[in-house]
Amino acid sequence: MRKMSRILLVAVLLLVVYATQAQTVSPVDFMRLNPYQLRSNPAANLPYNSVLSVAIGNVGLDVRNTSLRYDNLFEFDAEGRPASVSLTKFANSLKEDNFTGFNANWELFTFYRRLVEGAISINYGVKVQGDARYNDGLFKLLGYGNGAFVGEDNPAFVDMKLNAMAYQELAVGYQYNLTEQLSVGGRAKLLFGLFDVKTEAFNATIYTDPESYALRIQESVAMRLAMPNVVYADGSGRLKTDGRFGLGELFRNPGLALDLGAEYHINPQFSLVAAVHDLGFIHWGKNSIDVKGQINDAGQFYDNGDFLFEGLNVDELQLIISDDWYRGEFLDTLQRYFQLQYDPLSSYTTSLNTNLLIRGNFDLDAHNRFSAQAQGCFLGTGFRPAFTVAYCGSFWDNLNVCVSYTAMPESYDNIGLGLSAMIKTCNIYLTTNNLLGVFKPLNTSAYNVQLGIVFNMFVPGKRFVDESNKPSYLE
Amino acid sequence: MLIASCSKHYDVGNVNGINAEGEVLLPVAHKSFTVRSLMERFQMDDAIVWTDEGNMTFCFYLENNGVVKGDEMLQFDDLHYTGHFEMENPYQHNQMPNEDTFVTLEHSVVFEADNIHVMRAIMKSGRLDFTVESNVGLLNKVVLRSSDITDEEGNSFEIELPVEDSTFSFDLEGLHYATDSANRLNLSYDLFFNVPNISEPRLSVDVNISGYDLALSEMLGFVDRFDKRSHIDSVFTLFPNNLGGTLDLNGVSIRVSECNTFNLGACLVVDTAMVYSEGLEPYSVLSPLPLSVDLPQQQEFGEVFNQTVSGQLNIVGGRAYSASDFIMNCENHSGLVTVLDSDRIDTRIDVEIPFVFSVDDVTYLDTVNLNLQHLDLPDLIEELTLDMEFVSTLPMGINASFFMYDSQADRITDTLLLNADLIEASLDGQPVTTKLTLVIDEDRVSHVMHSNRIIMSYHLDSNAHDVSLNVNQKLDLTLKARALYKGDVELVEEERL
Repeated sequence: MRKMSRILLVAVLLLVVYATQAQTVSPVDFMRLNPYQLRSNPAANLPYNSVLSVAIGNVGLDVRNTSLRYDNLFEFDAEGRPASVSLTKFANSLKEDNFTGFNANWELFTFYRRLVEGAISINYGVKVQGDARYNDGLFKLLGYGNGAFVGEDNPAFVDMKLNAMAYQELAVGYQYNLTEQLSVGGRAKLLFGLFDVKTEAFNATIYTDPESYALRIQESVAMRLAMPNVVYADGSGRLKTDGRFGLGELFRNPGLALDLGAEYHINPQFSLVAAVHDLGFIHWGKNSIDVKGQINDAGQFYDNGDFLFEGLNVDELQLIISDDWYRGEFLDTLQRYFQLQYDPLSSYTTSLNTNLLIRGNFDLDAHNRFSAQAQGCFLGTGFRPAFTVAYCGSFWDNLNVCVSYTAMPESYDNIGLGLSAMIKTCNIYLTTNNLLGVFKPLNTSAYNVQLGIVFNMFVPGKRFVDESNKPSYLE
Repeated sequence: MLIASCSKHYDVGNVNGINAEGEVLLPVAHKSFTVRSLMERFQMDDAIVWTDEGNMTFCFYLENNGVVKGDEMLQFDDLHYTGHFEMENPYQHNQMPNEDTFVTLEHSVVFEADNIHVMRAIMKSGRLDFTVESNVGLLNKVVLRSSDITDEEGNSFEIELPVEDSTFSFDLEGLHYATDSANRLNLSYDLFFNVPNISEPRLSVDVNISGYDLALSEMLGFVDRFDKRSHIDSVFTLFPNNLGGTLDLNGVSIRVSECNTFNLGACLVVDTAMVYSEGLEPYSVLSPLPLSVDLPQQQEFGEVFNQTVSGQLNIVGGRAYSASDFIMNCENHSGLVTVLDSDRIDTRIDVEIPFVFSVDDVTYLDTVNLNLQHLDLPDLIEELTLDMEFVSTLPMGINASFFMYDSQADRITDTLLLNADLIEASLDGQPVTTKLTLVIDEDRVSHVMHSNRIIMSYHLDSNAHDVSLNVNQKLDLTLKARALYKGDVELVEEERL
């Protein structure tokens, strides 16, 4: 038992040490009257006998953006209108390492039913997630030119990683109270991938010789794509995505995933929650293509795997200046050095962005709860932790209010608010983890918005579970 | 108001461009101009010889083949001979003539030649046409004899010739000729007439002889001293027309070689050897004149004259003019000489100009056509700095001027460079590096974009030193650019089809 405690402690510390970057942290997770708290804690006891929602049960958008700011992207005129895109200003605003990601989900169908033993849930929805990690090299290069890189910053290094995925999710969950203190829950999810972009490498190094200005470029591109329609490379080697599409293509990339959770009540006031979400994979077996890029040997500028431009022969330069046809041919040849190669893939597998969380709750009474949570998400571009403290109170059994604060790397001003109102059997809610960010979504580092309408069915007058199954902490 | 303000703030419909400010460093061009490649550029490959030491020499030659030719000497003018013979008719009081010779005539014809006296010869060609008219009847048979002619075996010559309309012909080809009297051919022939009129008291015969295509393949005889006037008028090119200036040349070699297969000496007497070069006074290359050069008998070409001269030439080239006499048998040899029709005198004049010279006013013009009007370049570049580096082992300095030119408007649109010290001379053969920075500001960038030609003028100066061009000398050019850009790249919405 002591050993288990140590492991638990180490895991908690690890999450905290990872600067608790956030991904999909929402006040919904802490709202005891919201049935979608099950998403973060599959072991949670919902205070309902049954729940049903169709089409608008939960619509959520989570955006994480460390550097890309609308105000930094434009020069504004006297009236405050954006007048032009300012590469220089934008490049200045970037950090060495930048991250932009989003996670959108749309629950099209939700059903929850408390059974004699435990509770069952069925969900169907669509998820789209994407993240891009990029350094400031490309934008500094465009904004300042390679002249800015002659010196200590030489060579210019452009590094980007782009990952995106969309899939359908059909989940069947079960929650069970093992003891009065310990409840567990899990969901098995059948996934159907819609599209996927997976980047292993997308970078280039541009070295400018300070004496001769000779440019030496190295590039490395390694990506995999899977699309709902047929993708192929045409005769000239260019990627075409206009292949045929059929409805059946939407169900050709299967996957499996699990959500697991456990909640332990240390005493009537304190409880601990541990959960893992989206532990699974999607097997992309249809319309997949492998994209690779390295400098091609297309002629005189190829040098041992690099593109080396040391200037043109004067005679050739004269032709380029004076002869339109020759200039066109020359530019076509230049493109061939950097042309990507597309090879069909039989299949490949990607893992989901798995979430881990550990949460501690302190219930002041049946209506007021304080929570602290450490969460981390394994993204394609790295591990993103977050740390959240929240207060959630329920008033008059009809109104649920949640206030949260979330700290993420490079984003420390996330004050969230969630409101949930119960009108008869209808539960309407609207939440965000960054109240200020909602009003300036293009200039904030992270925000999350979730909203939905859920119906508690069958026993309108008894929306809470009956006395025999009612958790003691709700008393 | 707050909503209106937000609406403006997020209204990206007015965004019309991408703004950037930076500096691009780019290597632009490089070129290694070797002296050899420069000559190729001037298309002077044929005229240039590289010595074993790699030095450059211009070589020009003039061939004058067949100044005197044996076949011309052994060729004779057409000849015409008319003879009238009259005698007492030997048959007037006698019986009818039988098949014997009716009348026999003897006379000689002379092959006229200006300078040769043939004693023996082999006839290469020739034909004698005879016309015989008589008052006693029509000629129907001739038997021709000559004591000066034999066949190849030395047999005496006698031939019966067919007659048609009182004419007959005699072909001389292949016959051997030997005489005691030069150029003279003795003939004897028997004439037969049909139905002779025996009542005529006197017999009258008119003979016309014409000789055509008379030529010898070989002769033994005497050759007079004679001369033949010869002129050389030649335009030569050193460099193309886009070079201008004067070259002071030293050590120019003029060599004459000849091949004289005659068994007889000859000589060449030059009385005029002038060089004309544009912008310079004509001057005589050789002195003193007249200059006599012996052309002794030799079967192969051999040098008979070699002289080194100095001079001044326009760098483009010029015109050479000479006049001379070829004198055959200039030593007045009086003995018998064999002359073949294949004998000849050929001469060749070689002029070698080792490229050792001084230049002080040589200008080279070059143009580069531009076609930039259609280039869709953003109007971003504020200042373009061209860093030029020249590493030269050329023994002369070069000043340069660069002009932008609009041929449609026929005007210079900008002067990028004016008499800049572009390249320093390498006087000791060691590479000399010259760096030049050319700043082209925003206005000049516009001028460049709106011009269609660059005119480049290079002024060469050897600082009064004599310089020589060597194959190892070269000029390395490296051109790199720094472009400061600032401004907006307009966003152009693609036209949808």
